Amino acid sequence: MDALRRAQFAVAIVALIAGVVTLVASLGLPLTSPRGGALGGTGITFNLLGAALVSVLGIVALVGAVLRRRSLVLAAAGGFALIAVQVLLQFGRSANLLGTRGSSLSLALGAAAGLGALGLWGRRDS
Amino acid sequence: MSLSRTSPVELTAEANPASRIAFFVTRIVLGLLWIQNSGWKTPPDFGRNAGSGLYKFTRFAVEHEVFAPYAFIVRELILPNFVVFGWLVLIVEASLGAFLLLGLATRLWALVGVAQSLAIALSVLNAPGEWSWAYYLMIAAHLAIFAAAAGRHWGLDSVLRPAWARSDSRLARLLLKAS
Repeated sequence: MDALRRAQFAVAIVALIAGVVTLVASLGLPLTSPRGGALGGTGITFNLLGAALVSVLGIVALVGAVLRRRSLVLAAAGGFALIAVQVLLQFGRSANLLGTRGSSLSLALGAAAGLGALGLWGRRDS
Repeated sequence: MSLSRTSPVELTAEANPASRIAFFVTRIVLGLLWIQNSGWKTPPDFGRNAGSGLYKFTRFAVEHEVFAPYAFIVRELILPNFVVFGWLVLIVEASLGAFLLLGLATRLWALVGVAQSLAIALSVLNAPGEWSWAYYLMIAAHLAIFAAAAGRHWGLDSVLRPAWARSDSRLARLLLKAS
């Protein structure tokens, strides 16, 4: 496996772990609770809807890495970018569709930038 | 990558696995520090109405002055426009967490980390109950990952630098310098 795919795997797996752990942590909360379940002491939170979305995007990125489909990696990056926008629009307000906070912005931004850079520069490099 | 593009930093790190591990761990810990700390910068008012949160700590720069010119800027510019400042802090700190954790454009973000750590230190160093060495250590740790180009140790910089080096685009040249 080349370094580019290893890096795609690493970012996708971190995102998937964040999604699954916050999914478990938010079990019992309403689907769109403004306060989500936490990823340990990192401050990253998502409610059930947000955690499910992060998990699905992590899986999409992982499948993209496995199948060498840059379109899937870039689609996952776009999805995480939309989550980052959601945090900026709704964090700290009573309507917080994904149960996010500032730390969740870091995760979404990191996954979007990381997968986006790997997808774009991988294409240019080939 | 040609020898001419290989910095002394890379040569040292390649020869010493312990250095690579240390730079990697330092970068990850700093990334997690900023991720955790971006969680309590809460919009829409960032603590202004309750006198808590980011507003409380920013006011320390005036109430427990460390450096007079900085206290002047906080009093005259930052506090009257606090919501804009709050959003800036949230976005910068969330980005610091994201990019340091990834190891993407690491040297640039390490310098941003130095600046942000310095700004925090100038706000709270003289506040009651603060341990000043924590802020000196934050600045030193960011300087260390800048000097070591820590994104080249199991970070995305190490993966993408060869592509950036081959590219003629302006963005690639900027990213090469930022990494």
